[in-house]
Amino acid sequence: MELQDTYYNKSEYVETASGNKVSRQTVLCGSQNIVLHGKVIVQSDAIIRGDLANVKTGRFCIISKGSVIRPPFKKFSKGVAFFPLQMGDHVFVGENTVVNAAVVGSYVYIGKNVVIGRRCVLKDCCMIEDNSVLPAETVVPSFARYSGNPARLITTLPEAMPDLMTEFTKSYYQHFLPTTVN
Amino acid sequence: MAYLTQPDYIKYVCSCGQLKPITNLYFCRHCLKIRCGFCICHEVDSHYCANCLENMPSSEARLKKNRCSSCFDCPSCFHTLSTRATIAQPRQDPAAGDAKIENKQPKKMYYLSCFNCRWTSRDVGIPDQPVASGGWPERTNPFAARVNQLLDYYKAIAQQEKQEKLDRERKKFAIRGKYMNLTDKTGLTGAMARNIAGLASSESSSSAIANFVPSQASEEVEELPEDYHTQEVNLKQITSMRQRLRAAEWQPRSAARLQPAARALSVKRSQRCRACDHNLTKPEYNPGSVKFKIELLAYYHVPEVKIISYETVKPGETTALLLKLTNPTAHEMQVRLLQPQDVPEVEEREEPKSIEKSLEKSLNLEKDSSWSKVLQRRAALPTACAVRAPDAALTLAQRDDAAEYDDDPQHDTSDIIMWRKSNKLALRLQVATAAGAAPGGPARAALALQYSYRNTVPPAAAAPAPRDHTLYTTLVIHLGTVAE
Amino acid sequence: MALYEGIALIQEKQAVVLDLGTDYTKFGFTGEAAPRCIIPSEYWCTSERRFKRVYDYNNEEELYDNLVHMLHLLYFRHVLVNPKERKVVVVESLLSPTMFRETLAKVLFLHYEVSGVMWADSARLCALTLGAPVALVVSLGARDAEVVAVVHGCPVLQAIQSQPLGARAIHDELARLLDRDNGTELHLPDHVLEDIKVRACFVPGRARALQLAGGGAPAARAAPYTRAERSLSVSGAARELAAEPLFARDNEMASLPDAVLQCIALCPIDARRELAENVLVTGGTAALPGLRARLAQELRHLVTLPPYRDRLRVSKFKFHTAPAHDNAAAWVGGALCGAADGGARALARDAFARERRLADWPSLLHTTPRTHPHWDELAEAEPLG
Repeated sequence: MELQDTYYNKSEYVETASGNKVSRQTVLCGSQNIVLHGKVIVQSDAIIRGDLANVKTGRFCIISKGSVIRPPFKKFSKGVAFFPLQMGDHVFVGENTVVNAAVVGSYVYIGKNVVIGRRCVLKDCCMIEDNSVLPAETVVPSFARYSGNPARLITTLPEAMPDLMTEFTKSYYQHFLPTTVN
Repeated sequence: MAYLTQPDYIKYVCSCGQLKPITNLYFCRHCLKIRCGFCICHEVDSHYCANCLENMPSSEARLKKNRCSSCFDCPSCFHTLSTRATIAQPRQDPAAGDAKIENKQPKKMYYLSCFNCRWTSRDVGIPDQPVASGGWPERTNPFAARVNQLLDYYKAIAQQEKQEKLDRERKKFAIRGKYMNLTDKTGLTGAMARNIAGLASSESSSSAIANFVPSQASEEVEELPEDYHTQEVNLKQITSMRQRLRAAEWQPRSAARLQPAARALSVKRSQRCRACDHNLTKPEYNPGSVKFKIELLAYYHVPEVKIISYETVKPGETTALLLKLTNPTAHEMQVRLLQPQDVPEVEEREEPKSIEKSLEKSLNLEKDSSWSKVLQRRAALPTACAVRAPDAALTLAQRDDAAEYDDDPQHDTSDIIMWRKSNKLALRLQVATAAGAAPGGPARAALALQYSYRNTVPPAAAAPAPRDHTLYTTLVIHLGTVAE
Repeated sequence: MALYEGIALIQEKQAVVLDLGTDYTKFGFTGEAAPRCIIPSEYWCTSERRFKRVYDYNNEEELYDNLVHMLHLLYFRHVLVNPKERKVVVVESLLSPTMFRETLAKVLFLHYEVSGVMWADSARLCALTLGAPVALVVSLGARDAEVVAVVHGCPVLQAIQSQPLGARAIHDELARLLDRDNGTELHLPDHVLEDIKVRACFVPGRARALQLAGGGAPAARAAPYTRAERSLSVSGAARELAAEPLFARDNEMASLPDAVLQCIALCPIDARRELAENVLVTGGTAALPGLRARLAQELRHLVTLPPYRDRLRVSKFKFHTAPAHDNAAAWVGGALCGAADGGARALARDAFARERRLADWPSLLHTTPRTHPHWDELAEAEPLG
């Protein structure tokens, strides 16, 4: 099934020169620490905590409504330190999802209502199904499909996953259109 | 991606008859046929740990029973354990509080802890380790000693049987005369001599057999204590079935006897076409890599069909259906829509019979593609709905990654072509539904595609195989349910 | 070059042992003391997006697909070896349906191209783990309880007893008791019932069971069972009475101790005493605390009653302990058997390709001489291959 067009209110979104579309209804803390690498969509009510540490995303990432991108922390004997959060290209983050990962690879699909515990590592080409909880410090290998609470390996993904994700995020971007009327 | 989150709207018919979405199919460039995970041969390529992403040579993996040497799983919830460090204060008297006099430095000690269920290795009394990796106590199977005894015993028996059989054969061969000659060559044979002397025959002198003690049955059966039913029960102290089976060698009943389990390794698989033994996929060795050395997926070779939208199917009516065709190859493609019954039956082409081939066949009988008969399924193609296929050849341009930046859609739209964008084509089609289609049942229509395919494999030596082929594929389109 | 080839031929790859149970599958290598994995006999079905049990099948084709997926899971997720050119020891019940065996053979030989398969019945393999010449194997599986007498490596076929008194019978009773004690229909899924059974249930001794039946005994202590959706209290009655169906006697005489005694009674008279003195209770259900003791008590009591008193004249019952966990005893037997003779008795792939038929004890075909006219009739009826 082909993706349907998603319409947004033109006045709500800011489009940057590199093609990022960022809603005005988001909380981007410490925006000087947030790098969106182009053609990234950040939808309304998303929160990106750049004030804790650097947040970097690749190209064609989709941060859906109500999701939270938050750099992870680690406790040391002398206190707490935050680590930067890196996200690859062609990553989809579903609605109301909290991402505390240290690294999210490229071509990763994270469903909605998911909690990614702190300092998780999501390798390239993996998928976390809706309503899953990934406990802290989990490593999700490539081509794995995780689901459940705590999330476990359910099955593997097709080898064409990079192309599927590329196609998906690109067509999502192409179908993310401003409303023509008013 | 829609393939992973949505139901499979379009399924292709694999050459073995299974219906699969295009993402799960492979395309063998040597047989020019669609293959799927069911009809190809899987092989273990390399072992790696999915947690620390370290490769392990397969010989080492075999030695370590396919377990990683540095990663551990929680025995309680099966999540990965993390190594935690604590500072162990050297023991000192609380009275003598002067730390400087103590020459012992505070030492870092490590223990394992689960971030999911908060289980720690201290819960079961495993002492903290001075090194971060390894050194964790290993447990041996309580039955291993007995099983090894049994193993030696049975091996010795098997050996003896073999020996006896050999001897018998030799005797049969040796005894030619009518009478047994005891003084043949060496006088009395060894066995005879032992027999006469009243000793046990020499074969059973194996120590494994002689020393073996069979299991002793006892009249005593372990009984539950008399007051078992009045004892306090705490179900949290008793392991669940899954926790027990995770440690198949120990199967502890009490939660206090759980032990960290070394993490099981994973494998990278390569896949091979069974008909021609060529690789269909071969992953790169590096466990972190998502690239493949060989990757013959149907997604890269067969025209992809997607539904843009469709009208609800009603019995006895024709409804509209919008399809999108994509050419994934780097060559222009001619596509023609057909009815599935119009696809010519692929006649099993008899291979040119070289002497080598026929020799090979006679050598291994079982390779006579007997598997294909077992695998072969007749795909049940739906007939209630039919896609009205216009009899026209459609040209699909080659895939061009730069084309997405061009912004001039070609305007050769006609009554069936809705739009055209580089290698994509949208079609406006009609679905005719039989009047007898059961309302509420699934609406499915079958469609066949004829497409031209240019094979870029360098042809085998001296065999000028045609580079351009006309291939067929059949697919089943799911159009929701039939309306009332 | 020839030398190397010779070595390759001698050093055959370690064979694998497969015990495909109704609920749990045991899989591992020959010569090892425990299976590498014991996992539920189910796989993730991609097209239906749920876990599918191997034994849920309606026709041969579905079973074939189930087995292919299950073996794929076992080989590539758990044991991590190539199935090709490796021998397999299949641990099976003597009462395994022909269709299941033949389909499994097709999957192994044609789909996974294993080089040979050794078919071995679980009763004999259990006896192998003892090393005793005579054994009465009582195996309590997921669905059935089977009693097989093995005398000098030979199962006494006419004496096989099988009753639907496995884990399922206990689960059903447990569900009934829990519903009764909680006053509602709980509709607990199977895995929850299993979990309650495994963690809370036990089998009371015969004396206590009689007291309980008479209503003259205080109930056992209840156990609170916590669950994410709804916690419930497992009453004392549910804890100790769940396994009672195994021992419930009626006119049919179909209880577990009856089955054991009937099996002994059907055996040759000179083996009966020895069988009674060499009982081995195995199977996952045997791990229930107190079950063995109860069975022993019931046997000793029943044998003093008619009809067994006059027919058996057995006074002593002795019990063995297998060098394995209850759920893996047959598997360990398979591992021993496969390692001992190096797979010499396995059915080779080319032999199967020629015959397309497995030897099976109910079928007299493989003992019929080739010259018998029956073979011609058969060839006419169904052309081989």
